[in-house]
Amino acid sequence: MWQYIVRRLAIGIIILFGISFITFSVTMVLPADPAARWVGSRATAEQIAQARVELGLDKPLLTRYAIYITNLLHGNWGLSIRTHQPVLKELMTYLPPTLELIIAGMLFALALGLPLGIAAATRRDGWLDQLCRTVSVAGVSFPTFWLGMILQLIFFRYLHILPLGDRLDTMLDMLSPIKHYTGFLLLDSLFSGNIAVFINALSHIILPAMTLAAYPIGLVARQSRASLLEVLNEDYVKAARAYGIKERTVLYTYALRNAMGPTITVLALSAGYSLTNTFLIEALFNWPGLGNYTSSAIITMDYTAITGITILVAIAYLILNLAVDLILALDPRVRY
Amino acid sequence: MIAFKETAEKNMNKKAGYYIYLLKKSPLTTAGLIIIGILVALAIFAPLIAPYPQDAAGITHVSEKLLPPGASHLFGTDELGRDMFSRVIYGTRISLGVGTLVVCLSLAIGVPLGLAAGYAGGIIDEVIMRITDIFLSFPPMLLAIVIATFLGRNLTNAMIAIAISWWPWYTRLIRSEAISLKQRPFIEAAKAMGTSRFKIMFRHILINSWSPIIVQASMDFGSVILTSAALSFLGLGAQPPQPEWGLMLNTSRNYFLTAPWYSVFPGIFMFITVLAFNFVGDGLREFMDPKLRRL
Repeated sequence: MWQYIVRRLAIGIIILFGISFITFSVTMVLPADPAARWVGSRATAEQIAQARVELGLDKPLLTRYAIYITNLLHGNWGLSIRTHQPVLKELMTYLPPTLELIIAGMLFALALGLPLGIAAATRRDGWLDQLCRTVSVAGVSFPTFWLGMILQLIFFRYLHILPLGDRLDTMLDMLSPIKHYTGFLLLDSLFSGNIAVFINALSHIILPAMTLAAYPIGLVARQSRASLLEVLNEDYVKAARAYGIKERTVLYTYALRNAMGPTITVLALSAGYSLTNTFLIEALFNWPGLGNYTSSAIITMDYTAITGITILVAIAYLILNLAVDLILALDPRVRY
Repeated sequence: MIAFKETAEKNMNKKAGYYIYLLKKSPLTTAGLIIIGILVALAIFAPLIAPYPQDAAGITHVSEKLLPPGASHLFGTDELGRDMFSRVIYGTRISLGVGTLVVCLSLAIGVPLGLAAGYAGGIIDEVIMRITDIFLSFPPMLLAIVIATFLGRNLTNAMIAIAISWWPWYTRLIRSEAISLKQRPFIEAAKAMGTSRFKIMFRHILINSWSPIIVQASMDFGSVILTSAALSFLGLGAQPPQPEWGLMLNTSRNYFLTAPWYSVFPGIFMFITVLAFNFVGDGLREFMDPKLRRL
């Protein structure tokens, strides 16, 4: 077990080096001159040359890669070309809203997908089963940003029940100030007893979280259906039924618990997809997170910010995959 | 000789009949194929079908801006008075073209590498597979976003970026096929007859591992179309006045609360296209995999 964890971590570190090398080489093929961007459009040739020395762009490639790696390891991820602020600090302020959104989306997907999968498995080939199949194919076919717009049209424009975007109503944080502990607005407001903010934040997160959930809902429904069907065929389920144990107990205590493993895996793996999906959803809902930060970085060609995001997201993805494997390894039936 | 030909023809007919039988068993796959056929026809005959082909190229009529759907403009008009129906129809051309080109490009990179890794084994295999590991350790789309940003904003670069982040999947797939095929007697026989490595790889192994590749490619078509639309939505892919669906959705963001048709129609077309390819991919997978075949 420990051997397995150590080996996985070692491979993870090698992959991180590979990732940093790719992000580094991508900035090398940059057609636009970063030094020219750094000093702005009205700079003289001399100023550009000076910025080139300041940014270390005059040194040979391998030296630059070595410098780049040491800086990354020291938490010095460079200054944003756009805001001239440390990239790592900026990323850390934009990370919590994005995590909050992703977690809300995952919970949505689980809350809707799992019952659908269970219903489909217990009433095989019934109308719920057909619905499950349709949802799982449709969910992965929806252009996410379009779904978001349609939801905005329905719930904001026509039904007037949910806000269009943002994380909170403007001015609300002035009327009832928010204490920041975790950066997760919902948790912070709940813990500090700020119910007005909590309810407002909740109403703001519903639409983007629903949009984000569209893709994993189908995956969860499909996977929980498939693994539940498999488990329901096992001898121990038949034995439990033969003993006359209530069907509900058989389903929820005996079968579902064993069918949850693959479902959780699928959900966790889809979090990587959701992470990039937030780039689109945050732009649409004006959600002040990493995705929005990325969009502005793309528009302004802020290359230090973009490589910073890439590395952060790749690390998150790596940890996620590792976590999934470790959780599964806790199952005594899985041995390495 | 003639007798051979006859049996061959008979077998062909039998095979065709078998496919028709399979299609009848799977209405969703058939529906997907029909929709793709219609979309291809729309793409090819776009200049004949679109009532205002010049609008797709970006001719503007500001006096007719944001008209709701009606008899003269089936899907309404956009903020520059261009006919949405014509632009959406022309968008089919871009999306299907992007899907085809990106999938072909990824295959062109991924297949030879996978063949080499699987057939040669050893150090070549090790190096190629570690490289694919690194590419696959990025979440989908992120690498494409980064590459497209740095290459510069246009549709060609977006396609290159998607292909660069897509090929490792094909390398993995074909490698595993090659590894299992190279043990088989007919490859041994070819080797014993002195067939060149190159010919064994491309002639014998590749031809025999086509079916999983075709399934994967058809499934990927939809994802590629979605990814390229997403890049355009972020401002990285198609540029105005190109009639690309993702780009149309992006510009519609400023108007869609008062002019919902602007964002509804390009999105519906994109959704239907991706759905059709996913149905066909799902169906193909069931046909090719005897375990999943419901007969």
